[in-house]
Amino acid sequence: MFGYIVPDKPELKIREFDRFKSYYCGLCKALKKEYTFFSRMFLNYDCTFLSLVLDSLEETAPACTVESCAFSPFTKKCIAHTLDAKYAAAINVLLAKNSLKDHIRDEKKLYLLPAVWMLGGGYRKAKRDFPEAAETIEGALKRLKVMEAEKEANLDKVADVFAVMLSDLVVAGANKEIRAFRHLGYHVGRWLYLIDAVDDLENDIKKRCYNPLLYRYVYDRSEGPAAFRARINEEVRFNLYYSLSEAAAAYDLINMKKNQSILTNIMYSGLKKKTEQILTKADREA
Amino acid sequence: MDPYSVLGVSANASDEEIKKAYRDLVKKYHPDKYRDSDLKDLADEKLRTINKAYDEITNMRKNGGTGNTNTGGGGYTYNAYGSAAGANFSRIRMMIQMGQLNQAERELDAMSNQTAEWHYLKGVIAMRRGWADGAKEHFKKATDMAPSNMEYQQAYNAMFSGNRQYQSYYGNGTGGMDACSCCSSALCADCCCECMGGDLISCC
Repeated sequence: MFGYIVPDKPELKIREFDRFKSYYCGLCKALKKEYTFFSRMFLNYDCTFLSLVLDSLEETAPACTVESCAFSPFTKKCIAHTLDAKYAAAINVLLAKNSLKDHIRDEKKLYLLPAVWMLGGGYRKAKRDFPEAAETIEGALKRLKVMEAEKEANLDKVADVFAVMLSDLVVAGANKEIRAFRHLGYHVGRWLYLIDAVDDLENDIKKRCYNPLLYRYVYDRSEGPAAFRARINEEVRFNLYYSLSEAAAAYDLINMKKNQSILTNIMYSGLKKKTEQILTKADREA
Repeated sequence: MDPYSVLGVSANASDEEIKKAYRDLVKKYHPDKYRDSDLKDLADEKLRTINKAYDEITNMRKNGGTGNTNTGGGGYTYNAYGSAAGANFSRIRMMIQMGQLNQAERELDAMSNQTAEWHYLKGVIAMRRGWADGAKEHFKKATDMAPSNMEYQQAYNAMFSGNRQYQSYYGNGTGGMDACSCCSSALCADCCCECMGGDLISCC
């Protein structure tokens, strides 16, 4: 369920894009340093966003070094070393392993089992470093599993579990401006859960997996995925944009010291484009 | 704090630039955007700072001229909970206002008669939680049952206005002024004037 929180790249200035990449690389390096080499394979944009947001509260620019790395051995890259990179890296590992386990359980992708096993060491260390974050994530995913088993049809209620989880994680990392961050985390989390549900719709129908949209809007097998998507499109769009506008409203209230132009790009343009891209996915494929 | 940095302009910015920066910020923190949000007080605080900074600058520039110095903000007042029908409902409204959402919801769930107001209040609770899907359903039912009630209608419409505002921002909303943003800016400016005791559009 990852990689949805991305900037709108064509709208970024080159120096903003470089800054974004340096956080991305910084997170990757932190993953390697703290949570084993293998965990870097699960580096994702959502945690880069977390790292950017948390660091925006710090007055000083992050220390940067120029290094090469295993993924680009010939070009050296600028790497931002921030205080929060370790936290973001831990969240990355914790979420990655849990989501892998979900994929194996729901879709019977047994070939992913070795990956879970290899993430084990990093996962245990992340859990040791941030026991509360691990507890938040494990608790929330357990609650989600129960709701999935019960085929919960209340969209708000299911999304709430994931939203509260993300909100807790963001607040724990930020430690200040708690109310605005709680709101921001909640609605970004709600959006993430919903956009993931929309994205997985066809796949879940095919594999007969739980997807809250199928129960909220009562999917009928004779209807077919394309017609169903068309029927619920407006409702889903409303819900996605509602959360985005709430998240953006909370975002506007946070006193950021830096990174603001990149984050504004993500909040107001990147997420919007992502939403449209996923909502119109079916049209494109057809 | 330096009033110019509050508005994000340099000290030698032109009056036009300052006015534009001020208008943009007012739009950004407008009470309508934070209606029913639990972050409303934070936004109001921002708006007060911005109003104060703008006042300070205009006064400074007018050199003690006829500028409106009344900054004691009565501000935007919350008027959504005006008409209360039953004693029960008004008690529940109080609970919602104080943030006791779970208790308010329990009281509502215990009622057998699901009137328009019942749906409206369920909607408000859902909205406070960020549960947009449920909120919209309940507001819709409330407006269907009592089509002439402005309070319900307003709550239902407000759910969409935030979305529209968000969707029009950045990229496609920043180039110039269209008919809609022109009107909304005028209304914003009017609200702000009224906050500070003046009036821009006399009829509202």
